[in-house]
Order: sequence, then C-alpha cells, then structure tokens
Amino acid sequence: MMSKGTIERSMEAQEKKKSEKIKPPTLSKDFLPYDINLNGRNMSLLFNKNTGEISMDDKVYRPVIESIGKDNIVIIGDHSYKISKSEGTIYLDGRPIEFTFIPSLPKLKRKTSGGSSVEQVNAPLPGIVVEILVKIGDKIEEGQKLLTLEAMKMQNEIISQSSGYIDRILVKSSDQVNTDDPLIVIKKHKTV
Amino acid sequence: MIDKEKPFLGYSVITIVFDKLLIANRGEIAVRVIRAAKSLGIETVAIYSDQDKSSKHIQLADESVSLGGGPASKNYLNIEKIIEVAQVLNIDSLHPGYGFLSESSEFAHAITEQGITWVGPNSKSIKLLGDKITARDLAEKVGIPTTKGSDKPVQATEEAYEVAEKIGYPVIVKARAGGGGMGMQVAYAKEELLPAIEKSTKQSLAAFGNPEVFIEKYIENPRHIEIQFIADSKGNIVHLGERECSIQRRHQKLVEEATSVAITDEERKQIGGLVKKLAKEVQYVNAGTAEFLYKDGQFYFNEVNTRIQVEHPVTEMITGVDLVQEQLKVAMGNKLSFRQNEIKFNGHAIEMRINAEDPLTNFTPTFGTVRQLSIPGGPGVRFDTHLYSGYTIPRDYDSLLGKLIVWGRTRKESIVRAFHAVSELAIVGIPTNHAFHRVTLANKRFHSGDINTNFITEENIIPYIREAFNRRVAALFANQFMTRKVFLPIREQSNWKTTALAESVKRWS
Repeated sequence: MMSKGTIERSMEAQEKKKSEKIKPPTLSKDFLPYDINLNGRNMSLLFNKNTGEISMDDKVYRPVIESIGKDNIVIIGDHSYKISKSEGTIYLDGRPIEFTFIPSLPKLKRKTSGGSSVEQVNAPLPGIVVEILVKIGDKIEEGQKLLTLEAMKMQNEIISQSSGYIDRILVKSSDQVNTDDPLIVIKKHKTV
Repeated sequence: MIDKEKPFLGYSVITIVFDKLLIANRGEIAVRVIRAAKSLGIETVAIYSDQDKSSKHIQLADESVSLGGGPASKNYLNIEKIIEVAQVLNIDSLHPGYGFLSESSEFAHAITEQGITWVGPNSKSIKLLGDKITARDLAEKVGIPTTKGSDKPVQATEEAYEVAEKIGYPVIVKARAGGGGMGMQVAYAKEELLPAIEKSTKQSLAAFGNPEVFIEKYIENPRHIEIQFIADSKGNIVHLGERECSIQRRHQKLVEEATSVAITDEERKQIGGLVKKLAKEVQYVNAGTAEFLYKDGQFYFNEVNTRIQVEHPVTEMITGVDLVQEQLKVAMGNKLSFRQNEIKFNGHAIEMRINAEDPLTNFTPTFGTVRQLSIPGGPGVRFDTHLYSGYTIPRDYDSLLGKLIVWGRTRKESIVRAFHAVSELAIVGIPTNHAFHRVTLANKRFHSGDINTNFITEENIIPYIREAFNRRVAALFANQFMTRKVFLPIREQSNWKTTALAESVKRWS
C-alpha cells in the first residue's frame, strides 16, 4: 500500500503539475453530470457509469478502489485516499467531511397552456425557496435567474426558459415546495 | 486597586492591579485576551453585538453586555456606548484587541479621560504613528531606512507628475490615515498616476474618513518583515525579533513565520535597535509592531501598528513570552518581566490563518454553521479560535476563524508539523481556505524559503488547489457510487426518495 498524505507526495504532485500540458478530453455521451456538495461547497462532475471514469475541469480520473476491512483505499494516479465511516460521519484520510451528490437537475419542465402565451415555471425538485430575484411586472430575458431553490444543501438557480414579463409569483421566501409545484407565471406580453 | 509594596531602594513602588478588564473586541482575539486576563486573576467583561450573541468570548468572560444590533458603527465601533458600559460596570481597564477601535487615538483618549487604563500605547503615540507621513518622518529621524516618497499629501494634479518623476516609477499611492494594506494603488507609468491617486483618494475617504494620500517608491515583490517590540512605563524597551509575513493575497497575510530565513542575527539586532529608538522617540508604552518591506538585503519602513497583531503567537512560540499578559502587566505599571539579553529565539514557528474563504472561488467569503470541529494536537501545536461545534458564523465580520500555530526546532520541522496539523484540522459545515495552506506547505519554493509577497501568483497555486480538490471529490464519488454504498445526508433530507437517484444505490449497512 502506498503511504498517504505525505508532504513529499504532495510536493512531487505540485512539481509535476508545473510541466503538465492539459488537452481537453473528448467525452462520450455516457458521461452524465452530477452535482456535488463537499463541506458546503457546490461542485459538479461528469461520470461514466460504464467505465467508472470521472471528469472534472478537463481532466479524466480513473479511480481504483481497494477495500481493506471497513476502510476503502481509493487510488487515483499517484495519489491514494483512505475513506472510512464512523458513527455516521465520513472520514477522508482521517478528517471528518460532509459529502453528498445528486444527478444534475433535468431541464425545467414547462407547461404552456395552449397558445395563450402564458408560461408556468414549476419546481424541478423539492426544496426551500431561498431568494426570489424578480418581482411582478419585471421584464425578463431567456436565461435570466428567477429564484434560488435550496435542496440537498445545494443552491439551485431556477432560470427562465423564455422571455416575457413576470405575471405572478406563487411562492415567497423560505416556502417549502415539492416537485412540480408552480413557482412563477410568465406572460409573453405585458398585461395592459 | 492600588498595591503599596515594600519600599525598593528607598523608593515606594506603587503598582495598580486591574480588577475588571473590558475587552472591546470579538472573535478569537477577545478569547485570547480573556485567557491572558484570567491567568492574571483579572475579572473580564465582554461586549457583543446581537449578531454575536452566541459567540465564545461571551461564554468565557465573567460578565457580558450587549451593545445591540446593526452594523459595527452601532456597537463595536461606538465609543459613547462602550464608555457608558465601562462606567456602569465599574471597569478599570480596557483592552482593544486588533481592528475596530484598537488604533483610534480618539478612543484611547476618551477611555483614559474616564480614569480607565488603556491597554496599549497612549493616544499621542497612536496619533503620531497612525499618520503615515509623520511616522515616516519619525522613522527617518531615528535612522530607519525608508523609500523615497512625497513629504506631503499629493492631489491628482500636474504637480503630482513632478513628485512621481523625482521618485521614479513604479510608485505606490497610499492613504495618509491608512494601514493594513487598504487604499493602496500602484502606478507603473505616468498615465497611470492620476487614476491611481483618484482611486486611492476615494478609497481612503471611504475607509479612513480622510482623503489625503501620498506617494512612495514602489518596491516590487519584496518580503514582508516586521519587528515586534514592547515597552514599559519605566523606559525599558525590548524587541522580540522579526516575523515574516510574505505569504499574502492582496496585502492580506495568510501565513506568518518567526524567525525569517532571510534575516541574519546581525540584521535583526540592527533593525531591532532602530525600532526601539523609534519607540523611544514617541515615548511608546506597551506592545507594537514596526512593519518593513525587505528586498536585496535592504529594509524599507512601511508602518507601525500600535496594537497587538493577529500573528503575535509566532513570536510567543519562539520566545516563550505571553505577549498579551505582558501587555496587561506593563499597562498596570509593572516593569517588563524580561530584558533584551534574556530574549532568545528558540526554533521556528508558523501561523496559518484559517479563514472562511474559498480559494476555489477567488477567496470569496463563505458562511455556515460549524457542524463538527476536529482540532489537531501534538507537540508544538496550538489553535487559537472562537469556534465551537454548533456555532454559526455571523455575516457581518471578518473571515478569520482561527489561527493554527505550530512550533518546531527547525523551519523544516515546523513546516512538516504544520502540514500534518492542518491536514487534521476539520471545520465541517463551512468551506475554508484550509486547502490553500496544505498546498503552500507542500510547495517546494516555500520550503526553500525563497518567498515574497507575490508568491501565490508566481507559484500559480490556485489551479493546483483546484486539482487537489477535484481528485478528492473523484475519490469520494467513486468510493460511494462504485461500491454501491452511499452515505445519506445527515439531516432531514427525506426528499432523497423523490430525487431520481439510481435505484441501485443501497444504504451503507
């Protein structure tokens, strides 16, 4: 077994990185996105379930897992990490951490009622409304942030998929919502 | 309380003993001062804002008083309110800590007027050294080397070009009332000068309430070296050697060491002697720090901080002196408990500032609740903090969560100890700059000691921190996904069921 977490190993890795040239990899369709929360930090990665490869920031990692008793040793290239669990807490190299992940949000579900040019934005997942970033009457553009929904300790920005005017806001800050609950109604044209 | 001691050499020695010390601060420094006061048998009074009502300094102090909510100007910076508390509670001494009102000559004066002992230099010393132009003049007078600079404030006019040309580019524009690296602007060429002056003027007014700025020669990529000194009211002044604080980000220190690899015993003795002269010149009593830029064997005066500094523990670790306790003692009128020739520098110490800042997002402040706290130990390891498990960081104050200080017999030993200590430190629930320290401590150039204030940029440290993070995330993800074992989030998250998680995921058994 490789010795873990030594200062020499960390130093070698930094030196190696200096001379490294990164070529963005071409990833197959099998790589699916996941949202990660590590100690309150939101990150994301792409995971290929078939090969076990993980891609982050243009690098592909191929972790190898060895089980030793109740601990797992995960080897990534020159590095190895001990991951264990005790009393409900995950330990990474002996250090308690919080780590959760979920598959990235699917595209927003929209409900367009016929040709009436009204669009209802629904909650894509259950959570708590943290912040509403628009008010009634606001003119909004496609891609604009509407509100922030906290779920799984992650802040998810709900983004408008169309342009128009905010017609109704059906939730308020700190409301708990479930999947498909209506949040905001957008009208294509300003109500006179 | 006044203690009449036995006559000494025919003189009657009178020492004041503090009964009740008010700590006009918060966070780790309030905790630090309370500890020092307790060890001297002094009763402590904490003040706090509404946002700080669950802060540790309140729990540790014998008494505490709320100063209400709102911004710091309504509580920690509110001179009238603090004086009112001091009167009502019969306070006889006040320690200002660092930041807030610690370098306010007005506050020091007001406190003294009340018959309360100010644990720090008198208001006159603070005022003289707080004015950066006067301070530089005084430094020059006692023979401390300074950079070329304007001898009076400059404005964004034609005249400024003349001043700058005489000094030679690049120049730095600094706030007259400034300090702590705020409001400074660099101009590398003529066309950058007026914008730099304008910007610095604006920042100075906003940060210090004084728009005056001046120009100095800009020293590129120097080391930051500072000298700790302390003086008693009997005219004794001792310097406690240097601290090197070159690892900085935008003039904010992140790692501090004592001693510095760059400074020889001879240089230490010489600059220490000059700093003592400067202290004498302003009749300085109590602890202070003279800051210098250092490049190619040459010191350049920067400023004097007329208070205890964040990084004072590294000096304590190598000298064995409790600086805060000594501050209290000299404020009580005691003689310094050591002489210059008794100060020996033993081994090497490093301090890592643990901040609620995320190096992955350009060091933006982070917030949260400490869900779990795991503190390293072992020989020579010290963690000064106000954190405890369950504590929520208020959003209103600076990001310092604690200081991890490590001692070793040699620099190498203290670096290795520091690396392992910081690797053990866990503040679960709040993203911190923890990974920054781990990476810096394992940096080859840091080990060599060839550092300067531009180290973080030159070594391109941030991408490496990101990569180290990504590897850990990949390891954790692989471990939990590929072994088909998953750790469910600790709290309430019943909505796991409804999120489209792969059915194959099983609970950890």
